[in-house]
Amino acid sequence: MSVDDRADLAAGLLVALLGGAVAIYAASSYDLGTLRRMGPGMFPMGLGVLMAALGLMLALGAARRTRAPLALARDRIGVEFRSAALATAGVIAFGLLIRPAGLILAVLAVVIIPAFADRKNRLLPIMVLAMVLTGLAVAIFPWLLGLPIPLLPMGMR
Amino acid sequence: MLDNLALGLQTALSFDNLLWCFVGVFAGTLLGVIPGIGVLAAISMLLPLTFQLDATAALIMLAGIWYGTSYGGSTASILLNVPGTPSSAITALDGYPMARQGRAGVALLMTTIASFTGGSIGILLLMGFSGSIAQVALQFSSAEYFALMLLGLVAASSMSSGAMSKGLIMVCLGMLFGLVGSDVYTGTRRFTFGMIELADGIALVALALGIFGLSEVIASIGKIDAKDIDSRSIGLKSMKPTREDMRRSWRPMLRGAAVGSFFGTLPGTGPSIAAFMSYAMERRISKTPEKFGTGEIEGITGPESANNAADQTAFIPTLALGIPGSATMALMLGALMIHGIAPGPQLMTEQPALFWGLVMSFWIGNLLLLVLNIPLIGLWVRLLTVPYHWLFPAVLMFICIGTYSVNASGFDVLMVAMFGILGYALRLLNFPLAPMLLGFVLGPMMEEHFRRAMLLGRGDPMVFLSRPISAVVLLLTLGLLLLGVRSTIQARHRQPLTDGRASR
Amino acid sequence: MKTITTAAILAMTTVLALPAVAQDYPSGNIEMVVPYPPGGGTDIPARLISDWLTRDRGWNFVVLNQPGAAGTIGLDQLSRAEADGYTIGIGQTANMAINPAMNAEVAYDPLTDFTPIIPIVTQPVGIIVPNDSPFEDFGQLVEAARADPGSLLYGTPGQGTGGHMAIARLMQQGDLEFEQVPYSGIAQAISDVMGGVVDFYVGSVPSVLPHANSGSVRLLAVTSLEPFPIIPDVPTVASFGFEGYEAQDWKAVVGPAGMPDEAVAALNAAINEALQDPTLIANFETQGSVVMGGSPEEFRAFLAREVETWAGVVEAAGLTAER
Repeated sequence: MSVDDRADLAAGLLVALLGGAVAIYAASSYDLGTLRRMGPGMFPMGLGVLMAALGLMLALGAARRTRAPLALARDRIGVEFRSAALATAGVIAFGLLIRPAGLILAVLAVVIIPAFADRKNRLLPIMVLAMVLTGLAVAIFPWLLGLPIPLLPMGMR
Repeated sequence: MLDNLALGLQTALSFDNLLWCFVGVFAGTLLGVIPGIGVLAAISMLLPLTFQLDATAALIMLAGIWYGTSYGGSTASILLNVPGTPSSAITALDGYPMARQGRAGVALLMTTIASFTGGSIGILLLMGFSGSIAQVALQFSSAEYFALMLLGLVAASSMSSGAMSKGLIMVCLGMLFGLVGSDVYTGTRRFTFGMIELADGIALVALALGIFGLSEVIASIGKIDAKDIDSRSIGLKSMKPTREDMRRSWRPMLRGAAVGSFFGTLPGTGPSIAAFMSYAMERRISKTPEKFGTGEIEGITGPESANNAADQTAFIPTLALGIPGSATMALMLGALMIHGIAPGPQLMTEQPALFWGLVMSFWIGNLLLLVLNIPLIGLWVRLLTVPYHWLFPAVLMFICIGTYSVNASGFDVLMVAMFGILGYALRLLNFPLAPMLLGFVLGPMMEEHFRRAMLLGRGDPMVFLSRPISAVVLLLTLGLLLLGVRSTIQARHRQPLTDGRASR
Repeated sequence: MKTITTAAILAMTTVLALPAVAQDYPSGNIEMVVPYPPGGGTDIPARLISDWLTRDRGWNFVVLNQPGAAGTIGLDQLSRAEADGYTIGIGQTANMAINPAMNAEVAYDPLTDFTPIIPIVTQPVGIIVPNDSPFEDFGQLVEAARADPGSLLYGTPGQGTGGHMAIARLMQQGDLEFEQVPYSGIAQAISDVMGGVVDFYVGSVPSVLPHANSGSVRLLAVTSLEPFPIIPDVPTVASFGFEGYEAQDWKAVVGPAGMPDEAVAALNAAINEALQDPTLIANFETQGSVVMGGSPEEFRAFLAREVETWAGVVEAAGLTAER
């Protein structure tokens, strides 16, 4: 069984589960309505059922291609946890900081935090890069384009 | 007609209007390059500036931004695999592989030429047939829209290589995200889990930049080396397309322009859908559909021609009927209103200098974009020589600011993070990402039109077959579906199904 | 008589107080929160007013568009902003009077969480029919509805919009029944009216007037109490036997609750003056709206009436949010 097949089996089951959950949630929380005046639940329910069916199809197809038992499969999908965690953390930091802390701190966060995902980056060059990019961001967005983004933290404006 | 053209040309060539046209297209193309800053955000930002201008100059500038972004949008798609605008997301499918093969210059030049071709055809239609096209667009009601969307989905279901069920699952997933928000018919908040920020649904820019932008950065950190790029591939010579490139491109460009012009005219649809449809069409027509996603030139010239044609024909319902087809077009009408001009069908007769001046400025603007963009290609390509470990923090910064600028919402930036993780996971599992964007765009429209058609048809599903245009489109859809089934069966007979890796 | 006297005294005190206040307010940028996208029917009045104040008074305005959830997200943030007079915003019928009654997620109270400053413009809702519609006037449309209740379909620019609520109110007052077909925005809706797919459509006057003027649809009635000054020939709904019937879509400047009086007075006086500028009036009129103005106290009373009226309509139509 190849990595792809294992992944397809797992993903198919996951999608089927999600589809089922969506269908049940939609049918129980939203009005289904009539054929003439459909309620908000009709379309999501149909979509959920469709997803469940497609997910099962994918999983069954993958299972059929399977010869080796699951436990024997050794190879893994390479997941870059460090990159994923740091890049996402940078974006989240920007989203949380932009309102209360202003553009400058938010940009510093989204440049510096993810930079360490790449081991080629060293502290000093990153600080220089962060400063240059902050200057660029301030020059382009609030000054050149007149985008109403506060630059400084609340209370210092 | 000739009088009008002369009047238009005279208006468009006045020093002021020429200047603002340049400012518009220049700003547009630069903003298009920056991921996230969409045309709507760009125009909203520059709207206050137009208070000081007269109405014609204001509109010329805003329109310049609108079609200018489509020229710039493909740049980031091709070089970084991060779409500059949602309508150029599809260009990345084949544009990015071309760049990795050292053909970035060719890809950028060909998309510029395609953009110009599509734009020109769009303007010709706008000049010659505004009135009649607008009348045809009026024949489209919800039943027709639903039929068209269905046709689009079926046509696009084979958009990516790899298992068809995976593509369909992604379409459904996109639709599911599209359903989040207030139901048009009852106001019921669906899947918002009490978050008021989700009341209007998930922002397109957050989804697009999450699944294409952030997840691409995650997947590329530490993997891309600037030294991989052949230094010869950034020289001016490398921009020159081969005769083969030209030969293979002109038909996709014309077809793309046709598809784009059509979707541009219909209110509610626009350049993104046009680009998707053009890509799906090229892939279906191609004799080597399996090569799509590996750097096929048809995969960039068709969609880029389509989205620019759609940009221009979007003015047809706006100017000829006073019906703005998108939020951006509504903004342009708003700019007119600020100047005390009531937009509407009478605009063409009551303000001929404005109308024809605007139309002629499109020619000037597109020419300017052509001259402006070709020298810039050399500059953009040099971006590839910047080490990626310095480039990616900058890309992330632009993604964040761009997303924030659309709705002044920090929440949207958090959504980018969520979709980035989701997109990365889906990438690892070999799911194609482009169909998800299509489902997201088309899903809510399909639901809205289906429900409205049933309501207008007073509950009778025959409404889809009794209206001639809708019936014809549905028949086409059925035909396409049967063709698809037939070719799948044939393929299965010829060779055992190899598990093709999904391209995106 | 008494109110007029009070208003006159208030106006005089405002004018007298102005020089003193003008010195210390405003001393910095004033942020104007527009809870709708740029270029829309709420954004344009906001920009025209702040533009006028910037030119005439030299006050510096920053217009911040904060769209979302039918104008309630921006207003919600405004209600929580610092009440120092440097953050103000635009409220209107939908996000102050209709939506708070309709949506449980709306956290603010339109009457206690804001400082009323001044109403800027108002516009009625217009009722249009396709050119080949069998209805010559609004009376015939009502008769047809009485003869066969629920048979007529009407389009609106969306659930809970002024158009939807105007008809909801009419249905209650006249004991009528129509079926709503909501659209998301006006583009598709107008196109469907022209194509005769719906029997009639109800939308703001600015959005329907250009199409009526060009002869592609017919404007049967407006929902103002008196004939609307810009289009005096179009009859009001009230004139067809619906006494006292009115549905207005107004836009007003409000601030967070507890704003300093001097800031309110300065803003009110300056905007009142702006609303007397003939160029500005003419500009508003081409867009289909007329200027309002008045004192903050008058506005407070007006707001209370509107909130009560529309909450009642929402409740009677069974659209109240489940809390």
